[in-house]
Amino acid sequence: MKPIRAAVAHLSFAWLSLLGLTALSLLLGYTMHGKIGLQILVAGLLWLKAWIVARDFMEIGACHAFIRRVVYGFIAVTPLCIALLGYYGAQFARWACL
Amino acid sequence: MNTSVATAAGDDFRQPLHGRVPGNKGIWVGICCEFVEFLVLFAVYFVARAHFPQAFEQGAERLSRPAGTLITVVMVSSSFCIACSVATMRAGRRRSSILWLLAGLVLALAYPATKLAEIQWNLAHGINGQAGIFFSVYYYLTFNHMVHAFWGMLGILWVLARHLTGAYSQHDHDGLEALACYWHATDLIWLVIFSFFYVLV
Repeated sequence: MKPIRAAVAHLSFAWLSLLGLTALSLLLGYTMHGKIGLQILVAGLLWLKAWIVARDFMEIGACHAFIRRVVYGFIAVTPLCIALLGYYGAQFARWACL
Repeated sequence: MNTSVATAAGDDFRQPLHGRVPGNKGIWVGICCEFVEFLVLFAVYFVARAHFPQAFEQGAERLSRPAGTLITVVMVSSSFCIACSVATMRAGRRRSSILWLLAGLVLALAYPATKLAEIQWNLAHGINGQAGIFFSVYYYLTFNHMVHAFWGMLGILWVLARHLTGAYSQHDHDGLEALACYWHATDLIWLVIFSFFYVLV
């Protein structure tokens, strides 16, 4: 039953990585309060955590191409928006006015 | 749809055949709709944040970070247990699969319990839906997510009941996989919400 042990060990590593990255993101939020670089780092960590869930829990790499695109697209959009909003927030607010 | 996975002894049970649809097509229609729905809600968050950056910076400081962190730990751990439930079922270990699924359900139930405690804490500190733009967005996004998580919990209960009656086997456990996909998608959305309200301060 080595394969199942290897599979659970792999999932355990992913789970511990997610917990570690969550702790790191909280630490960054605390130490970089109000700094513009925080948005980039938080966006990067968010993408990494989402990628781990998609790759290891959802096994998205083995899925149909459409599903892969949907999930990878979804996990890329939000971090990208967070990062862009850090630099272009004022312009975006003007653009998004009614 | 048959869950086409490697079955011979010594095969890697974690790696199924390439290019397949895990679970069933119906659940992926639902997941796509869920993603679209939350993308629209996230767009509202970004528009509000761009217009009121100070309200969002100050608002995040008033939220209970331990509650947000605990929900994240619970969601990630529950997802892990359900992923293990699928992996053990693929290996033909039905009993282990049921126990992992049960652990996933227990952890999932800690989410609404923590949320309830957080809301009580919020109200005791004067944080309600009318406390400002940040809190309006916080409440509608987190409540929306909890509604989706409730559906997931009902799904876990249903799959657990079927699992206990022997509905799934090593070669046919699409229902379990479909539930796992939905729960992982709900977990992905929580990770975004956590960053929005508890990390970006």
